[in-house]
Amino acid sequence: MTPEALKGHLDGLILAVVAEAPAHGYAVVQGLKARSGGTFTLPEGTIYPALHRLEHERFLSSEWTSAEGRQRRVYRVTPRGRAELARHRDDWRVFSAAVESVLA
Amino acid sequence: MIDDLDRRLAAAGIPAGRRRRIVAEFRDHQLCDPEAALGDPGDLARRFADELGTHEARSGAVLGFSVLAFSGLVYAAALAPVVTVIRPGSGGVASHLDVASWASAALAVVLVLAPQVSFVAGILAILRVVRHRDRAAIPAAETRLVIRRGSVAAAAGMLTMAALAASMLLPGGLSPLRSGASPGDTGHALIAAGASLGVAALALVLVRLRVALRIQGALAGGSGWLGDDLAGIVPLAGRLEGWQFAFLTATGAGLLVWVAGLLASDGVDGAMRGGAEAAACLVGYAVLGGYLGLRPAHPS
Repeated sequence: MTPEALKGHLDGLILAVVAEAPAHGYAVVQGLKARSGGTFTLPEGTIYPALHRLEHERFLSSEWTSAEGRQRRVYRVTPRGRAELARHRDDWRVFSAAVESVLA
Repeated sequence: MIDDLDRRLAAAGIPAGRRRRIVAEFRDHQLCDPEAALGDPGDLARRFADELGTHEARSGAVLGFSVLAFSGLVYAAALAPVVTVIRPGSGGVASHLDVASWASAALAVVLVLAPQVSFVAGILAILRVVRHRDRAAIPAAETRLVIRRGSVAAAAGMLTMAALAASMLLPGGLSPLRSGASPGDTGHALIAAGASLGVAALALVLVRLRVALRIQGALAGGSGWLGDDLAGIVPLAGRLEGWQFAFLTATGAGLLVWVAGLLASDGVDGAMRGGAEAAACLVGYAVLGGYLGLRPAHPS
């Protein structure tokens, strides 16, 4: 699936992955790939502007941790982020039901 | 690739601390998977600049507006004693500003004009922020417009607060506000302290907006103008030209001041003040209209 097709859904997808467990950027990309069965493959660097934006909007928080002898930025979902994720899920249910009813 | 990204982030004006963090995250990603397709460094730097620039401009404008709200309270507290002594036939607020010297006259002019500029520019900045609140990134031209509006609002607000603090601290003959109707010594001290705090906070807002201005987003698109901001809020806004807006606003402001004069039983004085207010609106439009996006950049 192209990055263009993910436009508008990327924030919700990232929040869903990070809500499962705190993760660094690489783990988020791997989580997206795994949970989508390999369908969501986007240029991996594009995940970082989205992570930074979600942090600015206080949907995510982050901190440095030390792993394998190097610094790693780990993100976790804030309560505000969980509310936003719930909103994304509701929107998606409405949207997908509408698309399904038209296409089916 | 990482060094190239670092260079491009620096060229795009991303602040050093943020840049170090981005580079460290990419380096960690590459160490996790040396074959990872991270994307084009130029595209990534542009995306960071577009989103970070939008965020910084937006949050700077919102912070500025919040500080201006506090400044407005300080201003109201200083002016309230002057306003409350208006009685029918007294001639309005300005007659209670003591302009016995050039210094007090200059301060009075600042205290009357600067808050209006600050209020209008602040409202315009917030209008644009609210209009695009759901967008991750807005065109670079719009980001610059938000920064310009926020900066003018903060600078004019700072000037107002500085004039207010000076009015409270200067001896009576040099101050337009230290008449018998003004607060007592404790009131003066509190207002001076509040105004000084306002000056400091607005200076920080200006610094923050200056940092936001250094971030060079690349998202294409025009900056738009006042008509775009008001479309959907004000009927017919989309059909009016810039000068039509200016004349309507000037007429409305002039009428309001005239009506205030009528309520104070001084219609002639109110009409003169209303005319001056309308003229000031038009001069403001002529001087700042292009800079604040009050008229289309390219008239159709």
